Amino acid sequence: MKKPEVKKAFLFSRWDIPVILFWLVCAGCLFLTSEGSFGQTSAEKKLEITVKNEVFGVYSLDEDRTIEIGDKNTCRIEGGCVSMIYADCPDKACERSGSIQNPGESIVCLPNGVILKITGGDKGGLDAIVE
Amino acid sequence: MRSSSRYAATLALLTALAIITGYVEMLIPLDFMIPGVKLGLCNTVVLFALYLYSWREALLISVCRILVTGFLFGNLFGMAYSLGGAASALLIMTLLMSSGRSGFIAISVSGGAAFGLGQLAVARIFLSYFPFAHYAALLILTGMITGAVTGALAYTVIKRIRSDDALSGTLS
Repeated sequence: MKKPEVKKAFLFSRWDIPVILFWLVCAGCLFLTSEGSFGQTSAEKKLEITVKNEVFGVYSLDEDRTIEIGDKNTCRIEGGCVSMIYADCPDKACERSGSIQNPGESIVCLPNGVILKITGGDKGGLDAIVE
Repeated sequence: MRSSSRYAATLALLTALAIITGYVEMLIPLDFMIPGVKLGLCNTVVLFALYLYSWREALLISVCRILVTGFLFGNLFGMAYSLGGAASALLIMTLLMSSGRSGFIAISVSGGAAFGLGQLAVARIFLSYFPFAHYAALLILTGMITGAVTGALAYTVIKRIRSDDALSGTLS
């Protein structure tokens, strides 16, 4: 029986080092560009904005940002809290609502039909679980 | 001259091995903090098949393993992730191995990292939002560690089999 041709196989070669470094660099870069929020698993807290019952957008609470909803309302996510910083409605109740951060809480601007709602989190918005 | 029945038998054996290692992997869940972290033990078998034959056989074994494991152990949704991960891992590993200059550690490390990235890519399609970059970094790192282990394992197996003449004759 012919002796089968043996392919080369080595555990570690010089060329391995750049490959491994490449992956480490990749991981490093990705880590740096990430929001750095450790411990947040799939139960992420998000801000869901609905305008007149249509979803306007879903945003993570991790990143501080200012969101303009049309030209009527503006809300801000800062430090994991959401607040309505501008509304052109007459009563401005939403602006005075302060800030929300827990799942299930919401800020509503009735005249403009804008709802800012926090979704996600551990219990998915349940207030209590009775067993 | 390779006998086709021997070939088929070896492939079947390797596939069975891959399925079993995939199952054992599931018994040891590593994904408490990070979803999708796996031991990657089945990659040992895939790597072995890649070395012994070619990417076609490795792909076959990989896909079969994922399908069977998915249907048997009821994780249909996870199948999509595994398929994506396995495809990208196999791609990278084939490229590295066919270059002929790469050590097993690098191949397996790259495979492990690519597996995680492939899974994330599939997840991106399904899920609307999650901290992608963060998970990618973690999956690459964990993939590298598990990859190093599986690579060393596969290499050891190959070395042992080659040094044993009776066995090495049987395999090809």
